[in-house]
Amino acid sequence: MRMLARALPVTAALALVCGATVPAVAEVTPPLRVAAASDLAGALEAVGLAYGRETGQKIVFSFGSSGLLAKQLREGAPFDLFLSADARFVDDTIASGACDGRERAVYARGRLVLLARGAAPPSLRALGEARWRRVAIANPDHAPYGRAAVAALRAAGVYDAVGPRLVYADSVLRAVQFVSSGNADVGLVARSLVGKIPAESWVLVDAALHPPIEQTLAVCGRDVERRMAAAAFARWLRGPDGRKILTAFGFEEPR
Amino acid sequence: MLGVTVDLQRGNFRLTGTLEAPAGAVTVVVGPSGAGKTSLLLAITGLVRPRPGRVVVDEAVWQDEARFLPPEERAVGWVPQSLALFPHLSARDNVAFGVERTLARAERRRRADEALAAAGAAGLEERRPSTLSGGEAQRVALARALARRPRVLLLDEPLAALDRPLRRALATEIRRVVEREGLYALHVTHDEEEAELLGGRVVRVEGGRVLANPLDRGARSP
Amino acid sequence: MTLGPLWLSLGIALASTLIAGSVGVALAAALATRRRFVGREAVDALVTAPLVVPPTVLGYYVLTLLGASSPLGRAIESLFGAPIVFTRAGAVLAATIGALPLVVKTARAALEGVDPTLVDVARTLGARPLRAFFAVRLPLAGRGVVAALTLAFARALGDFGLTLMVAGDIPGRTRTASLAIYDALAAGREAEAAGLVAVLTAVGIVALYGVNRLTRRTVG
Repeated sequence: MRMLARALPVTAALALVCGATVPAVAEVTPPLRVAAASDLAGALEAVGLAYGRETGQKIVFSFGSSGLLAKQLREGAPFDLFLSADARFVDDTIASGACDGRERAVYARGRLVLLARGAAPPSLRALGEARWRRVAIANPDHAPYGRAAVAALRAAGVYDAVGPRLVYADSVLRAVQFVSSGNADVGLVARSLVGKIPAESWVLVDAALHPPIEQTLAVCGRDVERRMAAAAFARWLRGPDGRKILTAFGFEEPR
Repeated sequence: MLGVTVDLQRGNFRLTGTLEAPAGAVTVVVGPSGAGKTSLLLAITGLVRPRPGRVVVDEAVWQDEARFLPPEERAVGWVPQSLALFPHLSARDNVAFGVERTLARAERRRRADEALAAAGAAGLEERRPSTLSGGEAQRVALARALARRPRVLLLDEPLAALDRPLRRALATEIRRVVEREGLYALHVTHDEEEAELLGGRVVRVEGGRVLANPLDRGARSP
Repeated sequence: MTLGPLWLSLGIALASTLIAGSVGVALAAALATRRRFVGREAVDALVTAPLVVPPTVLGYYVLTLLGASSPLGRAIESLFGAPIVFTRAGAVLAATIGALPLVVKTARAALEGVDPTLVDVARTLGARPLRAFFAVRLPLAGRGVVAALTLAFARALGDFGLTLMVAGDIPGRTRTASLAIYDALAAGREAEAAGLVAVLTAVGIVALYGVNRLTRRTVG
């Protein structure tokens, strides 16, 4: 019992040292904190590197499901910029006052692709074949790419056949992982996530088959300086340098 | 005078009755197993509360209609049937547990050693309870109960686990301490022979009733 | 491989274990009392309930309760100058909520395993209920209580869903090892993830091994 009593102050000291309650040390140029939808993972890291090289401004990203990020922003999460996969969740955060409506902009259009491990199916209609036993999509309840996937399947007239074979992933990133790990035979996922995958494994889905995926951003937070820095980054992203990288990752220009 | 009146309900069991005991002598409480002898002791310690109940020790009221003293405020020394020695403490620390806390630690330890010696348990100070024999443990438990200088000593089947020669010895010692210090003492046993052997005042408990007819046979030398 | 998240996780787990340990043992003591009080088992079920709810869901509700959109959250912010959500304190809170049910359940069982006559005797020797608890009941339940704390530590170290929602995944501030592993996996940085997993698992295994050793011995 005495040994336990002696261990307590040591443990407490250790906890403090490990920074459990010590506030984060302020840096000389604080990094910009960007909350982004999962489908932007690859593209934004490239963007962040390029921006950092050019301006010296460091950016840190937190990727997640747009819905959860929007919820956290509403509850005061300290992000400076919110990059979502569509407009709905961004508008939520603007309505709640967490983000600024004046800096709202569509920065890109997303595209849907069919992705498989081997050769991709030639079209959506081909999914009707029985060999595509498990079809992975992001959860249409809260993920924009999932909603687009369902819309496309309906428009192609194969939703009834494919519906029972759908596997919902909690994000479009996870849907890609389902396919690449072999747990799903094929997936309807974001073009921006196929990256290094060989071309024969994926095929673009006709954009006319689903409502446009308008990737929207907004500046958030209360600190004036940070908002200015975030707005500067947003402008760069939408400018020629940012556009070049986004296009390389398969995003299209907003119309 | 120690005066106890109880009406105690414990689950399905009910104990009622009145008991009076003189100071400076051992009062034997005898009766078959399950009659309520242990419950009687518990009522005196204050660990259970008879409703209604009355426990008076000399002029001190431990319990009546208006008041109920918790166990820690009663000058009682209790040796339960299982002895209940603290397994994580040495014999000395066991005995010192009840000694007045206002005293310095060294003084408490000294008193504990004194009590152990008086109970015939000298030399066992550093031992852990699990290493003690039946007789040794009994003495340590007795020393612990006495170290606190109680007014009332309650012994629940203290001789049950001992063999004959030890029984006489311990019974004699108990009586000596009680007489010397002028304590009230209740010695509980289910063994009629043992009750006979101990002699002195006898109170009978049967079927939940404290029979108010003590057989005062006078002291018999062992 | 950056070790920042690991140190952060260790610090948070230690702090959470201290808090969950003290609050949990106190709750366990209240539940382990011999005096039966109305609704005791209901309280026990309530304390254990967080185990049933998916952590991310639980985190969602905690966030709603303590975030900027709730009066409680705003009160906290005006009182302390900073909100509790999305901070390291929030991460400690999340890990504590996750670990608390484990502490209460384990510690209660340990306390109830102590012979009540020992506590009774302590009372007759002049110990008030608090002293009887700390000097007799708690030490004799010692091994079980230490096991409870070890479980709490392991649980706090591995917390994910609650931390993600309540503290956010903020690099350098609340990105714990669990979150960092998840991020690395999601980004395809498998080597980095594997490294963090190895260390985290090693710590977890050592903790559980300790628990097994401590709870194996029967009272004797």
